[in-house]
Amino acid sequence: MSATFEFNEDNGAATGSPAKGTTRTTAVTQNNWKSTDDVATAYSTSVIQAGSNSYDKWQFGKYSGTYNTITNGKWAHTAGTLGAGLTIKGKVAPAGGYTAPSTTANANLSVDMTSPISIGSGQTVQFGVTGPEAAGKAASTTANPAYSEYLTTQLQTTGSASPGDITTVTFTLQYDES
Amino acid sequence: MKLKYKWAAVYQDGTVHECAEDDVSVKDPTRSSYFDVDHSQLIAFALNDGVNEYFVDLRDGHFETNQVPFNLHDTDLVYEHPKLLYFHRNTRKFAENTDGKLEETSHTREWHLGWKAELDGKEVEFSIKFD
Repeated sequence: MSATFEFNEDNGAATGSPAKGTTRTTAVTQNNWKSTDDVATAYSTSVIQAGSNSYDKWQFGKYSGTYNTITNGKWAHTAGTLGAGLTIKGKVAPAGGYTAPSTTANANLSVDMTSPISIGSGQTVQFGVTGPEAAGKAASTTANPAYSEYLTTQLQTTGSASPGDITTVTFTLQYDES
Repeated sequence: MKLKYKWAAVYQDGTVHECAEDDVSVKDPTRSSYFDVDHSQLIAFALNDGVNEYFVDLRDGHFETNQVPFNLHDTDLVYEHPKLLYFHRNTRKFAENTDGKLEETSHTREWHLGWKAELDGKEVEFSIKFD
């Protein structure tokens, strides 16, 4: 046995304190940037017009199963080169916490993740209880279930972006488990 | 998911505590079997996948790979309060497939075994890693 991992995603208006999304979807199996703030809508029917941005994506990891400690988290865009006019902005645990996703460029996504890098150079991810919004995140957790911080991204475009699907990009999440 | 390596913990009284077959703690079913290791009595720790065995002795800090001993530390120095280092590093890669679904394109585990201790008031670590 070992830890079980799944992505979750928050959408909608900010609610509560600390803030989280009004809608929380578990076992998310896609991370398509699109012009709709939800999980379900197909990206093919929610196209981002060149010169606009996607809604920012507020995903995070959930750990359950059997484990003792989850620690030493890293997250990065590790493969896939984007075409002209495309930028990925992202941040682990953006400053100010969860805000309602929008197509306005999110200034709190302060890391330019456009170019792939090695996971060893990725952003540090912390873990904790209750959810990604909860205070008290630490480099290591024994909580079960446990949650990562928000792993937030947004695809930003200029008018020079080519039409059609973008190149597939690979994101890597690394953590130590005992 | 079943883990590749089974561990065995050797205690000061010579007893060997082996990883439970289902790798679930008998003390807390939300934990893996490693939770049950008595670190206060631990003198050595081994990982074995049926082919290769990796071993660390916390008394003198030496390692063994398939019974071949070696050291990573300076044996002339005095290291205090040695503690076991054991974890598996999970690297999970995700990408969209042609249907727009997020697929886990790979999930690799890198195993780390070693020890950490204090040397002149600073923490130092020595470990080996293997797939």
